[in-house]
Amino acid sequence: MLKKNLIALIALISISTLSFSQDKYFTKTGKITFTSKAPLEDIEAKNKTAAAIIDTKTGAIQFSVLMKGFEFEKALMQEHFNENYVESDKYPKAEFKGTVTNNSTIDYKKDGTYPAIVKGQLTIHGVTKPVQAPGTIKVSNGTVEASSTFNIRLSDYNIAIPAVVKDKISNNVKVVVDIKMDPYKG
Amino acid sequence: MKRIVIFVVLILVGLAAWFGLKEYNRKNKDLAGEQAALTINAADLIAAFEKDSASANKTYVDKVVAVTGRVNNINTDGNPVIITLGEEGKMSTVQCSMDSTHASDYKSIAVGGNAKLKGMCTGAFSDPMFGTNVQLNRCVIQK
Repeated sequence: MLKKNLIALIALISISTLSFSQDKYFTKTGKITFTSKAPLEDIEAKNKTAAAIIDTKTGAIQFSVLMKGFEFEKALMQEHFNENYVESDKYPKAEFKGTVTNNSTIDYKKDGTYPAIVKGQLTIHGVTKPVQAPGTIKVSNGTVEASSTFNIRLSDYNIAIPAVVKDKISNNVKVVVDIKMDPYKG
Repeated sequence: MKRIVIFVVLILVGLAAWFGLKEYNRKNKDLAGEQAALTINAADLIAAFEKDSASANKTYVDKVVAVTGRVNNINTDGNPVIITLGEEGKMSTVQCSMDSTHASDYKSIAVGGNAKLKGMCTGAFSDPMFGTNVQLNRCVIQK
């Protein structure tokens, strides 16, 4: 009897861990771009090495990115960004942890593009703030692609813009997140 | 005398403007012509960050590092191309974001083969689920 129960228990555990691992999708090449509108020209920076993971069962989603990995077209801007604005030596990472609030309306087993709302905590420059953003979750061929565009205010993250360039650099920054994830085999 | 002073001032203003504009428009350096400060294989570089990330940050970050290793993956979906070095089946990798001016260079290497890539080390992230991933930017393939 005990043996039977034990076997059942082991079987149950192995089934649940199996389905658990199949529920997760991840990538290490997520794309994050941000743009800031400026009178002279738009400033744009790109990073394609964001790590991200989603648990389709719970809707928990998180991503992290190294600040030094953002590339600007102009070297001077990149240097100022790292040294003066986000202080990437002190705060090397930006991180988001949250959930897809309407996760139950997304069928991860059926190809399609689903509207999604993501809510969570965004940490930049050592400051954590709540964010909420609309986006989409695209399921196709066994991959899950999460995309969202939202705006953040630099002042919310204690990122100070020096007075000399105050009128040249906007406090509002548009962030575009595009992460295409494959099944996680842990 | 006055004219000379005006002339000199004008030249100085011109030089300052020229220098300012040049500095403003300065592009990131092409690392193809740069000498690597350090040369290491992918497994050792990953191990250095796993062992002591603070000291590895000091040694490698913001330095031009040449890394040799097995090509695990070439991601050409959008810009930049990402070439991943690492052992087969291992989660930990070295991720190289290629310099966009050398975007098509990846064609000279293949998944499963060996390659030597040179780039600016931007750090690493470690996570129980993702392993340790060392990242390099503005990479070029070294022949």
